[in-house]
Amino acid sequence: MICAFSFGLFILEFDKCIIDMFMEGKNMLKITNVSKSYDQKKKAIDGINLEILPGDIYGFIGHNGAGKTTLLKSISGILKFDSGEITIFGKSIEKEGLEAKKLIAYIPDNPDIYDALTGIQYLDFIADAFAVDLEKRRNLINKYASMFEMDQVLNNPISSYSHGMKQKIVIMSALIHSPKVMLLDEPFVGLDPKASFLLKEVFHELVDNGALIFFSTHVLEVAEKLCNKVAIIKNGKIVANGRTEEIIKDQSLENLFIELLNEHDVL
Amino acid sequence: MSMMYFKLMKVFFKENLSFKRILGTDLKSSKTKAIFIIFAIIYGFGSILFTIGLMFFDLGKVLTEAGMGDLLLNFIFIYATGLSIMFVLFRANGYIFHYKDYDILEPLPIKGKTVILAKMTVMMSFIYLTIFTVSAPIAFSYFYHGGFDVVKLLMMILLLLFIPFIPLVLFSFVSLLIANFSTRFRFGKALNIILMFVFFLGIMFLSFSMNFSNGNPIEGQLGFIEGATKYLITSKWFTLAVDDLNILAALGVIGLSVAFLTGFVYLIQNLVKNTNQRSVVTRTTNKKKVTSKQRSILMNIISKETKKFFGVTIYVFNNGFGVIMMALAGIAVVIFKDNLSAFLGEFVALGIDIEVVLLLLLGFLISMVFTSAISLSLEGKNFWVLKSLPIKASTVMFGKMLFNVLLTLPVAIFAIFMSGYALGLNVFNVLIMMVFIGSLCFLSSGLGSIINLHFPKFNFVSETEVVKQSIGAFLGMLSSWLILTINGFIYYYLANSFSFFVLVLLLSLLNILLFAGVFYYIKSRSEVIFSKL
Repeated sequence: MICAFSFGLFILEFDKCIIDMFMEGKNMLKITNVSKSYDQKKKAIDGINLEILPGDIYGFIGHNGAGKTTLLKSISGILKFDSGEITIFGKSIEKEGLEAKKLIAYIPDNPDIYDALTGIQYLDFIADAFAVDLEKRRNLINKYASMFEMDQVLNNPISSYSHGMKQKIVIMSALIHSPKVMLLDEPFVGLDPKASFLLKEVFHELVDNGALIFFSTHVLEVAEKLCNKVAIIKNGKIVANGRTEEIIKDQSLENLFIELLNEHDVL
Repeated sequence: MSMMYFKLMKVFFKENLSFKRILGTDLKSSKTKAIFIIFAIIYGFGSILFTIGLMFFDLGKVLTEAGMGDLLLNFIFIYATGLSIMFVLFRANGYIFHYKDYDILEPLPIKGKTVILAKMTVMMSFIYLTIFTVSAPIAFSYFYHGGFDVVKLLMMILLLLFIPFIPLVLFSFVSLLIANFSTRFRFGKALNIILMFVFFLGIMFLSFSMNFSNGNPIEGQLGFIEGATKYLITSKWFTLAVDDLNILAALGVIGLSVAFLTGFVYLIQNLVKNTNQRSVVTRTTNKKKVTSKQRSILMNIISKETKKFFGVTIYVFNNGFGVIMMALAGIAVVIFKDNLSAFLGEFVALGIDIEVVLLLLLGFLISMVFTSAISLSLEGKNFWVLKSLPIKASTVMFGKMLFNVLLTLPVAIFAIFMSGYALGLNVFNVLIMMVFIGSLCFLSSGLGSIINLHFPKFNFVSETEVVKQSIGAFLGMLSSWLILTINGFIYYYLANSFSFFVLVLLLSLLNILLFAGVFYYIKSRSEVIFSKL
C-alpha cells in the first residue's frame, strides 16, 4: 500500500518535471540574464536571473538605488533593458509586449495618475485597456471599492484624493483585470494599517487563484512574514535568492540583509 | 542681501533654467538634436526680431520725420508693461503664492522675504528675457532714426530693469484671485477660461486697428499707445529719462518701482505663508451614482485628452485661441458682411482670390492649435500608466492626433461654411476649401505627433512650461507654418496654370499623400520610440 502510494507520488513529481521541461518558463515569470545601464558606464541591474512561479509571493529587497525599481519597470515593459530576456508565462516582454502586458498589473512607488479624471473614469480606462467586460468590472469595482472604502469618492476627481487614496485607486485598477502577474514597487508606503492588511489579504487571494506576486519593499518584517520567497539585490546584482526560511535560516531577515550589505561595503 | 538669497537663486535657476528643463532634452545626448534645437531657437528669435524690427523700422522713420520719435519709447514702455502683466497673470500664483517646494523650504531656517525675493527673481528673469527681446528691435529703430547715444541706451536698459516691478506687484494679486476663484467654485475653471479669453481678445481689439490698407498693423496701435501713455505717469517719466536724459524722471521711475516692490515683499510675507499652507481644495460634493462605461481604447484616449485639455487653463488658453478666433470669424463674417466684402474687394483688385485669403487666414489659425505636439509631453509623470498598459503606442499617438483634429476641423469647417454663405462663394469652391482645410488639419496634427515623439518634455513642474516654453510647442507651430508656406508657394507658382478648384484639389491631394507618410511613420515607429522614452 505504502509502496503503491510512494510510486504514485513519484509518477506525479516526474510528470511535473516533464511538464516543466516542455513548458520552458511558460508557467512563470522568468528573468534571464537581464542587465540595464542608464549611462553606459554603471549597470543599474547586472545579469539578473530569477524564476517566479504561480503561487509565489516574492519579496524583492535592496538598499536605495540597488536596482529594484529598474528591474520592476523592465519586467512591466516601462523600461527597455540592454540585454537578457524577460518572459511572462512564455511571452517575451520585448517581442510580444502587448500580449505579455495583458497578464501584468504594475503598481509604481508613487501613484502619479490622471488628476483630471474621476476615480471611476480612471478605473474604466484601465478596464477598457484590458478589455474587461462591463459586468465583471462592475462586480470587481464594487468589491474593491467597498473593501478599500473608496465607494463614496469614485465620482470625485483624482486631484482631490490624498496620497493614500491615490494609492488605493491604483491598487484597484491593478486588480480590475485579475492579473496573473502582479508587480508592485513599495506597495505598503502611504497605506493606512487597514488598507495594508487588506492588500495582504488580496495577495493571498490572488496567489490562491494561480497568480504570482513580485514586490519590492524596505519593510523587512513584511517580507519575512508575507513572502514565501525573497531575493536580495545589491548594486544591481542578486546576492541571495530562494525560499524565505532557507535564506534567513535561524536569523532575522534584517540581520541577514545588513550582513550582506556589509560584505560589499554598501553601508 | 543675505548669502542665502544667492544660494537659493542658484538652486532655483538650476531647477528652472537648465537646458534640460526648458527644452525637455539633454543637448549632450544627441548632436543632431542639439543642432536642430539651436537652429530652431535662432530661427524663432530671428523671425520675431525680424518681423517686429521691420514694422518698427518703418514706423520709426515716419515718426522721426514727424518729430515724434519719442513715441517709440512709449511703445517700449507699454510692451514691457503688457508682457510683464501677461507673464505675471499666468505665473505669479505658481511662483509666489502656491509654490510646489513650499514643504521643502518652509522648515528651513531661511527668512520668508529671502525666499520670496529669490522666487521673484527667477520669475523676473523670464520677464526680462521676453521684454529685452521684444524691445531690442524697437530700440534699434529709435536709435537708428534718432541718432545713437550710448548714455541713452544705458539709461533705457537700466529703466527696463525696473519697469516690470509695478505690474508685478499689482497683477500678482489678480493672479492669486483668479487661482482662488477657479478652485473654489465648481464652474470657476470654465469661467476663468472665458474671462481670460475676453480679457485678451479685449486687448487685441483695443490695440490693433483693422486698417490693413496702411500695410503696417503697428500703426493701428498708435492711438492706443498715446491714450494709455496719458494716464501712466511712469511712461512719461521713462520717455523723459531716456529721450531727454532727465535724471529726475529716471529717479522717479526707479524710486516708485522700488517702493512698490519693497512694500510688496514686506507686506505679502504672511499672505504667502497662508496661501502656501492652504492646499488647493477641489470641491468634491459629487453624489451621483457610480456608473461604469465601456468604450474603445481610442475613444478613451480622446476623452482623456479632452479632460486634460479643459482641466489646464493655460492649455485651453494657448491652444484654444486659434479655435476661438475661427469660431468668432465664422460669426463675424455674417454680422460684418458688408465691411468684409469691401475689405476683401481690395484683394480681388490685386488679383488675389477671396478664397485664398480665407484659406491663408484659417491655415494660420490652425497652426495655433498644436495639442498633438505637446500632449505626449503633458503625460509627464503619468506616462508610466500608458507604458504599462497593453495599448499600442501608435493607438496612443493616433488618439492624441485625432483630438487635435477634432478640436480644429469642425470649427474650421463652420468658419468656411459661414464665409461661403456670407460672401456668396461658389459651392464647389467652398467644398474644396473644406477638403483642403481637412487635409491641412490632419497633416499638421500628424506632424505634431511626430515632433512630440522625438522632442518630449516629461520633466516639468507646471504645464505652462510644456504649453508655452517647450521645443515641441515651438516646432509644432513652426511645422504648420511650413506646410502652409509650401502650399502657398505651390499655389503662387501654379495659379496661372490651373483653376482655383483644381489647384486646391491638387494641394489637398499632396497634403493627404504627405499625411499618409506621416501616418505610416507613426504606426511603424511609435512602439520603438516609446520603448526608449
